[in-house]
Amino acid sequence: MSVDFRKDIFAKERDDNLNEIGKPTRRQDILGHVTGRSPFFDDHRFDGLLHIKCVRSPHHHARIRAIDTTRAETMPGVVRIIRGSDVPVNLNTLLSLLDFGKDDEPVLAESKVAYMGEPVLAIVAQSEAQAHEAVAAVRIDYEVLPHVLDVEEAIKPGAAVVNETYPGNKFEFYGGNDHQKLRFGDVAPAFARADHIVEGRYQMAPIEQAPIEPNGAIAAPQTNDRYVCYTSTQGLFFSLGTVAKLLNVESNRLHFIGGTVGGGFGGKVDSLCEPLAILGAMLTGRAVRYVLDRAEEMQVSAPRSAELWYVKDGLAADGRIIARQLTGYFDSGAYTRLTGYGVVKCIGHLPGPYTIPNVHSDAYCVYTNRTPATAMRGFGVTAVDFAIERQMDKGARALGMDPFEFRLINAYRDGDMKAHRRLAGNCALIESIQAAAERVDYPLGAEFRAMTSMSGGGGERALIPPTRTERLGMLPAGTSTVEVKTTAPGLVPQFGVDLPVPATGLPAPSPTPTPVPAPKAPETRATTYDYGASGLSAPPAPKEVPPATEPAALTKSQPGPVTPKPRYSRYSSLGNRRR
Amino acid sequence: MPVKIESMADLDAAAQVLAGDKTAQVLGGGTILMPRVNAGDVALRRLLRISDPVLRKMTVGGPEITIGAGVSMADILAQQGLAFLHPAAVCVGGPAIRNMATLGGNLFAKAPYGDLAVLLLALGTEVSLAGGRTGPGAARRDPIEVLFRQSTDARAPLVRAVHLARPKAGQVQFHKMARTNPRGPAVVTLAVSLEVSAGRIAKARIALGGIETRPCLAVGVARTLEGAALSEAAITRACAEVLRELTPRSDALASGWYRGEMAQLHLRRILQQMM
Ligand SMILES: Cc1cc2nc3c(=O)[nH]c(=O)nc-3n(C[C@H](O)[C@H](O)[C@H](O)COP(=O)(O)OP(=O)(O)OC[C@H]3O[C@@H](n4cnc5c(N)ncnc54)[C@H](O)[C@@H]3O)c2cc1C
Repeated sequence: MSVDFRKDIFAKERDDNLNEIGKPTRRQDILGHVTGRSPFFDDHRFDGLLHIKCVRSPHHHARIRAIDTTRAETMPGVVRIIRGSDVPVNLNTLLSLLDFGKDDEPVLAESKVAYMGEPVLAIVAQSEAQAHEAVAAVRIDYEVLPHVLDVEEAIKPGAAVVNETYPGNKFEFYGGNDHQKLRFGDVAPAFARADHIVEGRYQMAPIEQAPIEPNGAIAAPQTNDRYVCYTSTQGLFFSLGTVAKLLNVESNRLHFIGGTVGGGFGGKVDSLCEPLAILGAMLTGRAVRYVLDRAEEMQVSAPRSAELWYVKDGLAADGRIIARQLTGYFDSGAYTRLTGYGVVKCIGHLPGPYTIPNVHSDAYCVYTNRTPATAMRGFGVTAVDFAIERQMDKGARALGMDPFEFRLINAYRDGDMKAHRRLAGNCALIESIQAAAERVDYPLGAEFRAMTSMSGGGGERALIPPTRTERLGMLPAGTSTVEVKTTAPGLVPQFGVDLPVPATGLPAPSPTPTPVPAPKAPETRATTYDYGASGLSAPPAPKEVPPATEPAALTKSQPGPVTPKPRYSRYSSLGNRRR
Repeated sequence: MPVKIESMADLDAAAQVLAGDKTAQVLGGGTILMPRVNAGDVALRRLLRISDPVLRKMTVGGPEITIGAGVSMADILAQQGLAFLHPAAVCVGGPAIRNMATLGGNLFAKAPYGDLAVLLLALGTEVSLAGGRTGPGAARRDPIEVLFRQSTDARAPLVRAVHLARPKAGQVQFHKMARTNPRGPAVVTLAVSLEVSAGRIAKARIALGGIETRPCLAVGVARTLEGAALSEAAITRACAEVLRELTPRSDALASGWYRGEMAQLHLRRILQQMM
């Protein structure tokens, strides 16, 4: 199938004289793939290579009373049995390297297992078959605990505590918040005056990345007191840093060699195999290979999280969405991995590619006794998009309107203010819908064929409306910066939640910004900050804020043209790399 | 311990080995067993590869059909005389699987597999078993249901062949509903056989796969149809009976609720096609 480059659309925004972008190009690795010469991690063989197989939990949730390895230890070919107590730092969370989340997951479970398939022991043997035999010979005495597999059940009072690091079964975001908020405008009055209210509940299953090559690593001691590790990882340095932390070694003693990844899609960032392969090499002095088999790849390598969403829309009879409220629960499984980060990403994506003046969203990262979830192709975005687009179809039906046209009415125009306070630019949704409709001979009305994302935006639509928040009450129109100052010991001395303001060349904000009232001393210090108005990129802060020397201040955005600074989100580069 | 694979030329001798060694298993095409071997399943110790030609024998010409348990899906698909089995045989995996997958193995496959077995069940197939019954005394046959009553983990008897009467034109319909098309594992598989006489359904057999771990018959649903003419009202009655009789299982492919809905939907579609 030939690719149709629609160069007529956005012709002004494109430079056709670039060497690579916009030109068909050959993948760098394709020659190796089609000639069968691409080297994979598993193509490295060492003399006397040892193999790891893990003893895994048969229960969703159980306390480990006793582990009996007497028979397994004496079986032919068994070289070493690794326990949790052999792992120097047996608690980690992947994004601790980026200061996100608390350590919550052991490499090998010691006192309890929190999902079916969680590894408890790693058996190092001369052959895979011998490792399997020894796995079958281990006896573990479990005290089975009540488990919870459903996000809504998990956050009810009295639910089984899945993850002791987060006893409420909810991840803690910056500042100890148990969810991420997005507030824009005020949904309640908008719902009250809406002509139609449309509600939906949407549920998405976890999705396994299903790479052809499973997760795996081969590690071997080198003569220079270093360990080489051939790995299928998607994030070579990320994995190296993770292993350095877990095994408590200087990272310069680890020599990671990546290469062809036999399919990753997010499923190879968790460093599932590297720590145990290297630890095995350290403990035995020999080369050690640890590769998940297909069933393990499906069951215990992390999928994209399941999600549950409630969406409520207030619609005007003319087809405008005047308010949207979303509440989402991400099923992180038993540990955090990357799901907390996925929630942050999600909040920045809401309410979908539509200009909606009143948006209210809460998103939770919830622990259940299921396989931990992680990155997977647009995680945090794709599942809620499913919910949003089903909701759009439902809305169109409620209005008796064509679903394409309903979307065209509400789609972002360039210069519109998004709910998370970025100005929309290069909004191609309108043009994409028009091109899709044209391709399938879908009849769009003339006025819809004439629409463009390049006009009709900005002006009034570029404004930040007065916004209702729980902690600070009503924020005045145009509020884009919430600043908190404190010099209390042990606290982050100062932080600001910057929110971008309209850039030069784009429609300016309201010429007469609503005056901002003089900052009042808040009633309690806990109300001195609120990420509610931003939802994004707030730095960490403790839950209880002791008295600060300076009162919190609310400042509005500077009026007048400001050159937009590209905001660097701490995690965005990771997210991009992963995709 | 390594896995031992032994070749045996005689079916009945193999049956004796099986009877005497609990760890031994018959190897058909190996599409289910070999992945388990490769994954290091320590329960598999001894596999018997039986080369007895009786397992590959097909008698297709007459009204009574016999198919050896070692016949593959591809063999069935190559037989025009077995066209009524093709809708099921063609949806077992892809071409590589169908070249290896045997009828015998399909009879022991757990859900979501066992598509051909579901169709054979609807057709009122009988099975003959191996073991000490050679010669003229080998005529004993059991209804295929006996294989599905026991759990797959129990010692399975060694199947020699299946026997069935050629269905009349239009007597049988088969539907497989999968989430990935064309040939994913089944959410539900349905096979319906209706024998009609004088405008009324004289005999109905409705077999389902995916609902339980093994293929099962919906006897109550069949009873609502028997004696009636096939009408919209009869179809509605039959569909309403499905969940009274069966409790569909949940697994990673589908919830029990969804399976129940799909079973009713496809039963309705099949019966409407047969109207
Ligand atoms: C990728 C893939 C896709 C698949 N898709 C489908 C599908 O769409 N539909 C479907 O139905 N199945 C599917 N299967 C499952 C399987 O291929 C079929 O069910 C096949 O018919 C099994 O036959 P086999 O000869 O390969 O069984 P084997 O693996 O050889 O044996 C399976 C079991 O049957 C027993 N057995 C074999 N022959 C006999 C006998 N004569 N007497 C007693 N016991 C016996 C064996 O001991 C073993 O326990 C799929 C499998 C794979 C790997």
